[in-house]
Amino acid sequence: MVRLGLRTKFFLYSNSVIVVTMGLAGLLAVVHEERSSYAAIENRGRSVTEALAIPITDTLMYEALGLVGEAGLIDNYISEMLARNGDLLRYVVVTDQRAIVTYSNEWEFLGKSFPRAIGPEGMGKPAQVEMQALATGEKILEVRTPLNIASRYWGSLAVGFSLAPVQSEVEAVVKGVAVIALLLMLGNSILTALYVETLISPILQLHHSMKRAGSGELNARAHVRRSDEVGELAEAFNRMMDEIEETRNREAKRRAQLAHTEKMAAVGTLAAGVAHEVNNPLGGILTCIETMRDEPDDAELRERYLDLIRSGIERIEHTVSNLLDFSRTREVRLEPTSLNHHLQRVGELVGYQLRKNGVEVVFDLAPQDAIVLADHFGMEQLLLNLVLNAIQAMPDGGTLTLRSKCFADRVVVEVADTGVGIRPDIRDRIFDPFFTTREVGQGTGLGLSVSYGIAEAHGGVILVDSEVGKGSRFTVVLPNNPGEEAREVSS
Amino acid sequence: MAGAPREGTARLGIPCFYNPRLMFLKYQPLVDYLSAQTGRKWELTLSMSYDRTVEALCAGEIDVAYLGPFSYVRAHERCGAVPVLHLMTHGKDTYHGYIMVRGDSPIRALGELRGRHVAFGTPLSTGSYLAAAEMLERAGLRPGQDVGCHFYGQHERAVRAVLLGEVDACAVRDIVGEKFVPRGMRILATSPPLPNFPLVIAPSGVPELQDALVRALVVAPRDSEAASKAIAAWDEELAGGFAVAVDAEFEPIRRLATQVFGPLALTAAETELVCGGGGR
Repeated sequence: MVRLGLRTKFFLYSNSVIVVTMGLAGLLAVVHEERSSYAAIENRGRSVTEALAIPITDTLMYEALGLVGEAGLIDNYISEMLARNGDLLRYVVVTDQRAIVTYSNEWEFLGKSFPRAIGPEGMGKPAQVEMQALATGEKILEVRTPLNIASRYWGSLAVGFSLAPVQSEVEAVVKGVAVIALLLMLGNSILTALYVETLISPILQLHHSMKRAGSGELNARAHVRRSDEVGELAEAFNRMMDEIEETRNREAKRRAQLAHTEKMAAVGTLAAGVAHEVNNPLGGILTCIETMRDEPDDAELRERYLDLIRSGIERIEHTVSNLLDFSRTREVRLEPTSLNHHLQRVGELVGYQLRKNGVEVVFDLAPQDAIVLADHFGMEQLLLNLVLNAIQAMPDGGTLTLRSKCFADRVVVEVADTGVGIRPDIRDRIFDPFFTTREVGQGTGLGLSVSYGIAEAHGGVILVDSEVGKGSRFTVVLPNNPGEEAREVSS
Repeated sequence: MAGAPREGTARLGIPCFYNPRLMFLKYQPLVDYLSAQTGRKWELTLSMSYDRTVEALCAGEIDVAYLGPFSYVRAHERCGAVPVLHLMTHGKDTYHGYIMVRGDSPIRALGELRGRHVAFGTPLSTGSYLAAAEMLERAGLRPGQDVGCHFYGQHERAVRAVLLGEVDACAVRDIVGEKFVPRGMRILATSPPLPNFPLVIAPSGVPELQDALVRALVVAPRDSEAASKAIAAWDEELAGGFAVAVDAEFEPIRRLATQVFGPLALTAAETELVCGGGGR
């Protein structure tokens, strides 16, 4: 189905109104013109016929009395009448008392009976008027009157007047109306072309802005400066877009706060492992210090133990540095990011939890490395959340598989565990904020929600496969070059 | 109409070939032209018959008469009237008489008119009776005996009688008959050439009128484009203008009249001239 634009609709509607209005006006004008033109011809016909009847009757009388021969006079009257009324007059028929045609400009009528002749009974009455049609199809108004003086009857006169002028007048009116309609339509088209921009352009601009807004451009605004309804509509649209943008900004800020909260929770989770990681070398260092105090003169032992102490301190520094790095809030920045590197780093961060739960970690990384345009810290948080969830799903040990794959248009990271799995009835809710299956105080319920937000902000998604008792697999699918799609990344 | 012409006013007498109104329409322009050309006022005087016009001419009631050829020879016989000019019709100094029937008439030859009825103008009409009677006689038909004679007074009325079915044929002057050919009439027979209508003056009339007529109607149109245009604009009958005429041109008419009406053709009263003879 053809979709008509506002401009076309306006053009069609306004011209349709003109056509209908002019059609009705034209019809009225035609009816009026037809009636008045017919009446004018009838009046003229009666006048001409009744006037012509007088000299014809006189001529017939004088000839009958032997005073003056007719000798072409009636023909002369007829031809003069035709010359003076040539526009209307088509025929003149004079009949005698027997209704035989004695004079006529139509010579074939002569000597023949004229059935429509008015007999003596028509004397004293008004002329008769009747519609006739010529063989050519031309409509004729025939006016008939008796030829009489007092009650003396000489014959009758019939005069045919063409009604073509009526038709001509009607056609002239129709043409006039058509011309006016065409001029109006032309004028309307010109006005439409000239002023439709003024009238419709703001609406079209508003429509364009709405389409931009519909496709996600939250900065789309209608630049319409009008004081009418369209202007009010545009202002309402702009206010709505302002509110949407503000809401979106608030949401982004809220999500950033949530992400930070979740990060701090993860830091808390990691803290026990960190303490353990710090405690072990500290114990070794203390032992070394005690031994060195006992054997202060053993230079060889002091050298060896100082190396051990240095090694333990470096280990502690590395562990603490990792945690600080993760917990720090940084500015979001998109740059080429190695997912393989992040998977390995996360594996290091959760070393304590892996050992504590007896989880074996298996790396299955893409040989050519999985590089995406992303925010380092966002990616790291996303992966850490998934890995912590996986470890927590395997309290009695299991295997954590960290896998990366590269495709032409996307990069995939899988975090798979052999844990308890996710019940089907809650699977649709696991990405909801604050949803958790753990006891109060054991989790924020934000981990997966924040992770999903990060993936989405990078133009990606997180897919879940899970079977209760067998384990779960979280698959992060990211576009190979997500730079353009990345809209908002929270750290 | 009795009495001598008024000083300064010349009167042109014409018998009513047509209805008087039509006569004025046709001939008043000629009278106006003469008034303009001769410096003398001219007046049109109509008579209801040929003989009345001849009588007025011979009595001096009119100065000039426009007559048919037969009427002229009778005027000449009566008072010595002479032709000054004759009409030129379509460039010719002669005209013809026609015998006509309706276009749908079965009659194809004069001989077929035997036992039929024929309409004529008047017995004094050259084209509408004299020439036709001669043609009928030549075809072996004697008017009044072999064909019925009906006089309608004027040529137009004779034609109309045929169109109305009152008679089978009519005799008319060529210029009238040709007008009716497109209106359903057919020419059955054409007479030999007849000397054309003359403008006639009586010997007792004003002598300078003869020169005035020649100057106005022959010399002026030859020398003046305006005069020639004025004449060309007259009724078709007169638009060919005039040429100088002499009495000898009308000898054939004298013979024809004698042949048709007998030896008294030129002197008998109009009422004595009847179909089939009367003058003898």
